Amino acid sequence: MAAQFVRRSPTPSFEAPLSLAEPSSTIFDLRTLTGPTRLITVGAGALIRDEVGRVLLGLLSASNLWGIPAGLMELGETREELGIKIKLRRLVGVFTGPEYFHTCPDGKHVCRHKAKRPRRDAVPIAKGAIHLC
Amino acid sequence: MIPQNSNLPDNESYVRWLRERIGTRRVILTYVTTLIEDEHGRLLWQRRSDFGWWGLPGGLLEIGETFQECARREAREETGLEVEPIELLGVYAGPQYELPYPNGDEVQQCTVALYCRITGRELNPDG
Repeated sequence: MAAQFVRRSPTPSFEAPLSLAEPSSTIFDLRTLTGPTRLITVGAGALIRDEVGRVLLGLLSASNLWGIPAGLMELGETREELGIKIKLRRLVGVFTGPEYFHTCPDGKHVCRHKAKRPRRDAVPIAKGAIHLC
Repeated sequence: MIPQNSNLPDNESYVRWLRERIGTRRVILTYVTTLIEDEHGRLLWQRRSDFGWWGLPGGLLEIGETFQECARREAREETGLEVEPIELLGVYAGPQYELPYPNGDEVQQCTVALYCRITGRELNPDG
């Protein structure tokens, strides 16, 4: 996906569409056994800031929407390959529930949850620990 | 509330439904674990019937549940306590959290740890 840094806005408003058009191998393997029904999947998104405070957004080819780099977690995976070197700083939030139900373009359902920027109704974070991003 | 899922009957556990289809193969599953502290600063531990270990109350996320709802439900089912999650302590995932269950099921756990306070009822372990 194309990626560029944008200047931080005082009221950031971007949502983070996941690139789910191409099923991950884990989900693909599961799909051969479960069929096109709703599954709980784990994904991670990264809020990446550069040295002048700009947040990295990528243009998703499937939806033509801008979002943060994100994807589904694979078995045995320790770190998403982003093509740039990043240092994990803190966990900003964990999100799940019916509002994160998603139907892939091919009609397959996933119920996803992932770490991304906090929402107003998110659990406040005093101590953050993330072992995988 | 667990919404309708075409292949998942109401009140059916997601993991039981999944295991009927995928067998014991390794899969990423999502857990919520609770750290429940009483007014004396004591953390609640429980002896697990499957592994025999001491562990924290918690369990698997169901479809349509939020992490907070899962924490409240698991605490109620396993300890009898009504709790309210008040703080996200961490998220733990990756190959170091692979776990073979005594029944042969293999899991790579993704666990969300929530700090909870007790809001009601008496301690009543589910045995």
